[in-house]
Amino acid sequence: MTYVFTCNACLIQFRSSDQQRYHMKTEWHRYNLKRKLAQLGPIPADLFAEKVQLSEKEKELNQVDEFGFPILKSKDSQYNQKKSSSVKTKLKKKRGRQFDNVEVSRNHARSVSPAVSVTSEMSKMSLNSTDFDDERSYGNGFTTDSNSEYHSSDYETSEIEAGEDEGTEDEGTEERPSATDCIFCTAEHKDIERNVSHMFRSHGLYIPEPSFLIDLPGLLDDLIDLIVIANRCLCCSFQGTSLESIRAHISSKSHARLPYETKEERAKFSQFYDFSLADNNIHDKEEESDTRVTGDDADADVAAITPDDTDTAHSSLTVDMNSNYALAEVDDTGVELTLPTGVRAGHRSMRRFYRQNLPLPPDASDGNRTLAVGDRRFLGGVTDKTIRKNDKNVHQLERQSINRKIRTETRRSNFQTHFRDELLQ
Amino acid sequence: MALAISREDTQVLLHGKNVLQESTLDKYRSAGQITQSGLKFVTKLINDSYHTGNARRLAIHEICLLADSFLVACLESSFKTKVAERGISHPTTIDVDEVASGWCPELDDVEQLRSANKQIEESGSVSGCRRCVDGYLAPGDVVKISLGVHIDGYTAQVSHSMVIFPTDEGEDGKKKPTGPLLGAKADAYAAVHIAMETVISLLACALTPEKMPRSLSSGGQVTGHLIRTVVDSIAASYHCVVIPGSKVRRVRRFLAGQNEGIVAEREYKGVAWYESHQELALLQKSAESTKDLVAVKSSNRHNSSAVPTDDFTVTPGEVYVVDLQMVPLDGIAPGLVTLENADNFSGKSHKADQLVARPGAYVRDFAHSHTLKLRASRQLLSKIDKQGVYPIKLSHLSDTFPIDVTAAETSQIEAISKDLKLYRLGMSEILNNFLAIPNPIRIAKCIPWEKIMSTANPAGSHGMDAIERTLPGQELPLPRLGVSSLKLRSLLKYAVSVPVVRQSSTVVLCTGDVVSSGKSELLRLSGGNKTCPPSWIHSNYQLNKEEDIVQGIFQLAELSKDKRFGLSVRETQPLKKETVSTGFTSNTTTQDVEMA
Amino acid sequence: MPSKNSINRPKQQININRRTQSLAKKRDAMEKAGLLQPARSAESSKSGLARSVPIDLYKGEGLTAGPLTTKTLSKKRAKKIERNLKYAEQRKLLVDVQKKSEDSMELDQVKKIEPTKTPLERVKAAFFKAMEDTTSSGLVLENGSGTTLGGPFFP
Repeated sequence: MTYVFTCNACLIQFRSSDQQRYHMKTEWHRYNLKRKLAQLGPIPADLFAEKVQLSEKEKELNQVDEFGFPILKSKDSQYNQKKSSSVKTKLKKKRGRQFDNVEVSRNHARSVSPAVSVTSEMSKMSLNSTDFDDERSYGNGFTTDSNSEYHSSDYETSEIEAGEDEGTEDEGTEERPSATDCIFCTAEHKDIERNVSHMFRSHGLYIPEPSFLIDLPGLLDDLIDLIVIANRCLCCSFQGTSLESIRAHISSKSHARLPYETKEERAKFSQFYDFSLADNNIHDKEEESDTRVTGDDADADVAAITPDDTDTAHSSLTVDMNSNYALAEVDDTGVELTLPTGVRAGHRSMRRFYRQNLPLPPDASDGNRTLAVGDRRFLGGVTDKTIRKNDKNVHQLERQSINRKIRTETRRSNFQTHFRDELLQ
Repeated sequence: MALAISREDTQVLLHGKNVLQESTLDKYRSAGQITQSGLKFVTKLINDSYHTGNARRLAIHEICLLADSFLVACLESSFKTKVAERGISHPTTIDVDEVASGWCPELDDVEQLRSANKQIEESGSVSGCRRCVDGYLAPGDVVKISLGVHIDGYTAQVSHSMVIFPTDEGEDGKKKPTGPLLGAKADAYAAVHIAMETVISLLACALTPEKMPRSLSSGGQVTGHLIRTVVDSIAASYHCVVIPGSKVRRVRRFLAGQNEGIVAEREYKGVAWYESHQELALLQKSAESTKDLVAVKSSNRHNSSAVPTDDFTVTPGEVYVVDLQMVPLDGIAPGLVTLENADNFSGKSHKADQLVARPGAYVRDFAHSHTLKLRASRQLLSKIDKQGVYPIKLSHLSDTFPIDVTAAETSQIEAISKDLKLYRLGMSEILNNFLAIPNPIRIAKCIPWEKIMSTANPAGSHGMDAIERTLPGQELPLPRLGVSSLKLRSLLKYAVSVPVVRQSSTVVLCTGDVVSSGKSELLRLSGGNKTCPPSWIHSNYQLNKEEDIVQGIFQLAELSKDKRFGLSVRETQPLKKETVSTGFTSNTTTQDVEMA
Repeated sequence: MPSKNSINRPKQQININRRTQSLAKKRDAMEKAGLLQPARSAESSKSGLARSVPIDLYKGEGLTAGPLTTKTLSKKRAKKIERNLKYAEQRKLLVDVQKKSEDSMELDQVKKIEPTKTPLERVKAAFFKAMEDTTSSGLVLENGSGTTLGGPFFP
């Protein structure tokens, strides 16, 4: 028996159009489509599931943040994740009413995008399985029903966390937490160091350049002001409606980190740092930071490139937050990029001109060049005599041509039988 | 020239590199040392072979070759890896009597000279052409030795006149001159020597204007007018005249006047003597009111900065070359002293005493480019190009050059002669296409004024001599009489040869910040009484002490002698290296016999 | 234009043109030489001369056509003619004066030519004078001891 409903990419048949439609939305189908485009045969569903499992495991191992540090996931959040699927329905029933409108708005905003974004992640994964740049994408395990699953799991996680935070919510908004309290959860600690180490371990808050940090409480206060009081995210422009929503956002997006890349971002935190403290060992520090920066961005961007020797010498004079930055410059025409090392890179659009094989100008000795600039003869090898002769010749020729023209014109004007108005021709 | 040079480079090449610094001064000083040693070497060669008789008589072309080899050998050791270009800036020339400049025959010129100039003979007191032909010096000759080297373009040049004396045995058994040189040549010698020392003292005054004698002072500055006045007045007191080609000019890196007349040099600064100045002097001497006739309309065919004028001021930190050449006017009809270029064209209807010779040195003219047809000439041109912007001799291009000065072998001489044959072949094509210009052999001649003024000159000033090498703006030799250089050349048949005495020297006006003593001083790179003292001469004339200028000259002489409060002038000394030149001069006595 | 050797060269036209031109040239020459005056039947005949009605009117000549005439002379015109006649008279006088001076004063003119000497001649004159001076003053005896340089050794 044959069915009319088929999928050519996966080479399967369906009984109904609903099934077919449903299939078309699955990751498996998309993966097979990619394979088809790459002129590879389709793979069966079980093999695909295996592949996904494998890649996810690998990703878990190699998960790194923007600075190349492995991301340490808090155990309880992982636990929550696992638990979430099992207790999903119960939790849904139990609570969620009061936060519904918050999450609905988020889902609205996201409901357009996930298919696209997930596809792109997917394709990246399948073609280059080591390239992971967003830990968010596969947080929820792969099923064929990724779309709905994605939504629900996202929803659940935030709900769970929101639920957990529910108890402390009131005091959080009413009274300001102290510097020993965790910003991202309700945990309280004895002192600031423990709090910081907790936030680093559990939430991944890495405070950069700790050796130059002079005002840790101030920095934490600032973060509390931003996150707990103003409900704003550090990394993106997300504005939470409540403390719970911002915490949910931070944990789901892993935004619990200080943006510390561009000059502006650094300038924001510069008040808590003092780089002039370590003047004597500045070079060592710089080397450290340099290597770090290269490690991160070797393949990513030209904006952060290790400064060369002259730059270090320069930066030792003007020590500040941005001292280990060396900016690449694009020239006025916009086609040439000058790296701090002095290497110049041209734009691809001018490739034709760069590729041409022009002969080098002859490297004349200093003597010849001096003579060339010292020599004020009008033309090479022309003597006065010849110049005068040429002048005379030119005058003569000019006169001759004028005479000839006059002669021919007067004669020719008589050749016509009738008057012809020149303007009417 | 097909070289494209940016504005910045122009600034660097013309100005930046000419700022006197310690490194620059070092190069100048070493160039001066080598020049001094070269001069010492040549005087020793001549003394040995013509005066003391310690060695066999050396011919002029041999002296030239040995001296050039010596200079190159000295250059080898200095600034070996530090500079890109160094070499001979002026091939050694040995000019006798009326030959004013350019006599540096090659090895293969000897035979040709003899065959082409069979009828030449001594005429009266001057016998330079005769000496040129037979190749040996004789007692009574005034010999002008000129040579120069450059290191990285910083040039030192020297000319020194030396008298060949008849000798007799002294009391201690040593040879000594029979007596001083007398007569017209001695007058010129004295005049040139005094003028030289005076001009150098004057240039030293530019460093310390407060010491300038009151009678010479013109606003506390040393100007071109002052230099000209002083030199002219000295020449006049000895009945001499400064001949065309003399100059006191500023030199710069690679612009040392080696191709004057080929290159119209930008920002020329210096005093140059020409025929027109003799004309002007005569006009001013006349009783007629000639004020309005003196002014000459300047030629507008040139960039004004290339035309030399006397309106300049000598400033510290500059380098000057003082090149003075004078001829005595005693015993000849009043006339215009001019220079005749010797050429090697035979078969012309020339006078008996006209020298037929080809120039030995050539300057590459980089303004011309031409694809040569002969392989030999192409190879030669590439070799010439490598030598740089200074004059070269063909023998310098040979692989066997420099020959070993201390122990020269006949095989080396033969190898050079063999190379020369090939070079001559290529050189003719190069010369025909004006890729190189010969440095002319110039012979001083005096044309009587009567002949110049009575000659018919229908063409007026319109004939221009294309091959004449003059500074821009000086193409017309006698602008007031309207006589072109072509016309003047045709009048040379009435001329008589006159002996020339020449002295030249390069001086650096060091400011206080470049010398170790911290006191500004004049460094005389070449020449000077220690390295080349004047020969024994006696002139009947002397400076008239009643004149203002002469008093100033005497004051200058006093100042230059005064070590403490006077002008500080230092002379570069020759290299310490002992240069015994016995090898070639003594062990080839047999060859001498063959050649003589 | 057909070439010289062309078959349909307008031979006749060329010949005619040439003849006309040569005749015209001859006539022009005659005219210039003043040989082409028409034969006069009477002294008062004005044929071939420039004719001007206002001048005739001014002079009152040639008004023989009867009492009725269309020829007029404006007051302005009359003034102009009067003025021009005055000028013509003055010109004639000037020519007379010049002629008289040329005829009578020949002696003065020779003197006038002499001082126009070219600069070159002046230069030459100055030179000759200077040379005479130097030759005459050349034998000035030097009474000093002269100048001696160097000494009895070989430098």
